[in-house]
Amino acid sequence: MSDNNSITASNEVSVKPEEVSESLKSAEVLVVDDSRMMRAGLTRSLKQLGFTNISEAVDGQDAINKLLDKSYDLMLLDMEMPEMNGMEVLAAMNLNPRLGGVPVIVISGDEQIEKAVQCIEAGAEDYLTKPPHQTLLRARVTTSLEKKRLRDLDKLRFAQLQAEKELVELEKEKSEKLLLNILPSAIAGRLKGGEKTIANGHATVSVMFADLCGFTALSRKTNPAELVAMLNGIFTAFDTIVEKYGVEKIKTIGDCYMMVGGLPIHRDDHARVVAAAALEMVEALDLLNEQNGTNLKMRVGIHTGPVVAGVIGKIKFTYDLWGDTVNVASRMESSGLPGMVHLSEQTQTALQDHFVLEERGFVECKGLGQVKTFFLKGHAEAQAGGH
Amino acid sequence: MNPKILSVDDSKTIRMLLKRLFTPFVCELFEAGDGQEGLDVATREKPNLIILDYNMPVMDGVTMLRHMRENPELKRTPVIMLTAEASPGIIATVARLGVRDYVTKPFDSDQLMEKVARVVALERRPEISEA
Repeated sequence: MSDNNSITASNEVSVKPEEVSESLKSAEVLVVDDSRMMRAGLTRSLKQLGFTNISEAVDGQDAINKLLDKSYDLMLLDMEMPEMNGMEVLAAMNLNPRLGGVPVIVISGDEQIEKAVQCIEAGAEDYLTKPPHQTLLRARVTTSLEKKRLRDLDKLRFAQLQAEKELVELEKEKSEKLLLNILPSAIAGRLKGGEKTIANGHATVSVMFADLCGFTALSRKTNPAELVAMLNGIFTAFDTIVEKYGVEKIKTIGDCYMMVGGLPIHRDDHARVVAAAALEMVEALDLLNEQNGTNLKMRVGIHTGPVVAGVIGKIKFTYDLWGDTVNVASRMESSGLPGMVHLSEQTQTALQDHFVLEERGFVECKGLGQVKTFFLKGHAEAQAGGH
Repeated sequence: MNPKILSVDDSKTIRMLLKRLFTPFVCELFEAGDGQEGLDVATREKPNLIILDYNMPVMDGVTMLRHMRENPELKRTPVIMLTAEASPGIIATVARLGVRDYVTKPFDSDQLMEKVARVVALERRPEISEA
């Protein structure tokens, strides 16, 4: 039983072709033809195939306006139209990306193969002679729509991949920053470069230890949260000072803070920057005492000499120092006085005339014997008017 | 931003005809009356397509093409030539200078549009990776 109202070639008993698959039925299809009869016929055929979103354009200009307005999944384009014909519509679509991306099946009265070739060379996906056979129409339309769906999926996946790539980059940056937080950048660089053991001898550096006295007593009468908050405040202030002077914080051991000048890269003024930083740390602690209503004091010790520095271990590794210099610096701290910066003769030599120092006496140091020591009073310039 | 089409022809009639043909296209249209003006406009606007006349005063089409080839920004611009005479010599010359296609004057506007469509379609071929 043939449907006499549909514009399809029905020179045989036409079997109505099945509707297209569900996922294709909602595709946006644009039918372009100047003939009202043809448009109606095509629209009817498409409806029989199950399509629900069919739009019509009455000429080339109308088609272009509609393309600007909405995103279509397929266009059925008549080639023979007055004013602006199908070829011009194709040309316009090729020129302007805003109109492009829509697959075009041209419908032409011309049976000649040359015409078909021209249309396809001009960018059309397929060519049907009018009136199109219902089965052929279904086949061509389905193919074009499925191809477009795959292209769209591709674009989507590409965009998703880009987004994921950006996320990965962000994560990389985060772990990079974390690593740099733990290790000096020069050392981190070497680790990333693949060096397994990083250990270098350094001829002259200045090591400082700062120990908070009275902290243990305080810990007995303050609750843990407050205690940690206080210590955090102090050490964060010290961290800021370390950054300011370009010295290297090594670690904290309980309420003891250890830093070094001249590492990981040597600098001639290593002793001077450590001394200046130490003085500022003493000031910082006084300020925090005022703010918190505490009375914490600290002993600071500095010694200058050679050390071995590097990264060892495989978990929770840090950049650490070894050698006699470290022990002596620690001894300077433990044999010092609260509120004072206690330093060795070696450090004094390295400081030259930039600071004002007061002789202290001699301190017994394991391995070195009697070491002459000094207290750091302040910067030389600051005392300029005093003598 | 819309693409740009430049028509370079000393005949005002032809320029008007081309303008009318390209009006429905969603493009910015530019005109020039000779090769020198054409070169100035092309350098400034960097059009997506040029319709270029062969015979013009001041600077002809071939000379303008030669100048375009020396400009890295212009040497790949698709050009369709309008020529009164389609002798093999002329065709060979313009083909060597990178002209994509030509129409002989007086030209059939349908034919011109066909060539425009095809030339620009070829320009757009690598579109699958254009995500």
